[in-house]
Amino acid sequence: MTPIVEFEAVSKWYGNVIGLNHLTLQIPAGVTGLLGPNGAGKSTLLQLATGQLRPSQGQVRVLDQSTWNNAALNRDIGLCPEQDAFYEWMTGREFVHTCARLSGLARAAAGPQVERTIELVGMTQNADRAIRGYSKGMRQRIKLAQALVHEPRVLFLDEPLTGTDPVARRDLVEIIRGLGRQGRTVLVSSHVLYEVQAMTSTIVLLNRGRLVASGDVRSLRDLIDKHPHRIVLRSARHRELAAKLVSMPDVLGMQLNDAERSILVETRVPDDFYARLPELALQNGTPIEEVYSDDDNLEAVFKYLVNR
Amino acid sequence: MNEVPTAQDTRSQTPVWERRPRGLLFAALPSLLWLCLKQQASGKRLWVLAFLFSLPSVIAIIVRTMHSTNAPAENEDALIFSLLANALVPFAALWFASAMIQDELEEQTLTYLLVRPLPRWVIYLSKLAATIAVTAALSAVFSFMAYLAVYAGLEPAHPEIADRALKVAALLALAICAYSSIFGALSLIMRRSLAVGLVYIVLLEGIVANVPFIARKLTVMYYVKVLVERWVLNDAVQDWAMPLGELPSAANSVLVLALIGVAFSLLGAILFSTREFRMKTPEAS
Repeated sequence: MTPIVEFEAVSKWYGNVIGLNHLTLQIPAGVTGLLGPNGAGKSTLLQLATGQLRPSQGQVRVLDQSTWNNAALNRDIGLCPEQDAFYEWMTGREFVHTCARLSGLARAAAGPQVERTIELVGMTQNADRAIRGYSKGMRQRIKLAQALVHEPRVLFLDEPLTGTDPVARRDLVEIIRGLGRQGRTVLVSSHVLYEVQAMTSTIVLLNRGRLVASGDVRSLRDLIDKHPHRIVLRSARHRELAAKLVSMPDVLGMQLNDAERSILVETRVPDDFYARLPELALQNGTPIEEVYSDDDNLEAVFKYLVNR
Repeated sequence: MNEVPTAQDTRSQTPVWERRPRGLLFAALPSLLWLCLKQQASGKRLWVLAFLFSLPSVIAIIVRTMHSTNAPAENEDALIFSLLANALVPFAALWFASAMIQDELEEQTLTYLLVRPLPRWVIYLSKLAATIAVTAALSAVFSFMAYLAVYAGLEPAHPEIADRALKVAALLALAICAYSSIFGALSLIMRRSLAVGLVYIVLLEGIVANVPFIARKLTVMYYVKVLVERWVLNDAVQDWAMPLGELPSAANSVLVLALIGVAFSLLGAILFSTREFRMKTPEAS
């Protein structure tokens, strides 16, 4: 299969700190998950792929073109950055419309395209509110909309599910899978394997700037399942939520954090656990505000992979 | 929440990126300029500067209500040519220009511009143009107000004042072009551009420009003062240790200011095009 994104012996240094270390990688069309703990080099890789950074060594190519300072290539690229940064004073619609126009869409084309994209990410009802008043889930949705509005052929999504509630998480996963079905190339980064696995079976594992493994996720599943998966849930009524969770057979243990109104859950069947969360979040009385995976679990797997 | 549309059901035939107008810049540029203008024209910075720019008018009114024996021309010299042109305009240009990229970096919104199909030099020059427009508009409004505060209601009337105020607004706009392009480029070279810019304003534009020595010709303020004498005051001699016979012509002064503006704008555009802007990376963190 022809690679869409290519890294050829790419290294990137920040002074004495190494961001990527002699990375050679080829990403085909479809959805690919980019996995690694914090500091693995995922954001560096995505910034190199979107031409924001210049490689210290090697070559980065997307659609067979060099990425650094290549404005024309940006017609075909969309980026959903990790940072929770916006022009806060804009409404969601203004933000997406501005990004559409900046991407070169003519006024006549931009209007309907913005409406379609906002509808696609499920933000039609909230599009005319100022972004500064958005919840985390809404912010992630509108950030995805700005990346999609000009219909790029290649999409780079940096931790798009971070901080979202289970419903937004399910919706965003479905959108990303849909993009893959359309034949677009999507590289989505995460430090949570189970998030990525819901979107694709093709993954790339990075750790400390190096490529640890790549290929089908199933080859790594057995290894990862040896380590109990730790998931943090945040809720205003976390104790009531804990009472419901304790009855679930796949929950091995729990730890309550009253100060942060959160619960640390340990499970060996994370797929089942994650699948049950949207329903649990919608139940009266126990809204789940945020779900995230504890990084330590994946770190343990990486250590094993690197040292074996 | 909808299903992801397919190529067939959303668009007639071809994806939107193939249907874009060839003149990408014409489609994107108005939005880019609007965005940059809106960023510069909103926020606390504008209000603080508006307050500072109102000082000449406020002082003029206070001086007049105190039945001061100052001649209006003396007030004009002290408040408009010295306080406004010599101090406030360079400071406003520094504050706006050094923040035009730095703000987007700190707020991490620059990414949204860098990943668009816009040449980087276009992004930089649009930001600079918006910065110059906002600063020049601010200085024009408050220089008119200052002229009104100094001359309105005087007997005999000064009909030439409207013309003079227009000329001052124009030459301040020229000075702002030069200063903004210098400070914009400076902000891409060093992190502490605001502090360095302040030192530059005080030492070079404040002291060296007023000392009768050849080095003053390297300052923007020298040419601003030449234009005040030649253009605004119609060759009337001011007490600035600048003998008319030794001064360059008004046309040459305009040319020098324009050249400074163009040269530093180009330098800034080149720096912006070749520099990396790191967000959410080890160095940025």
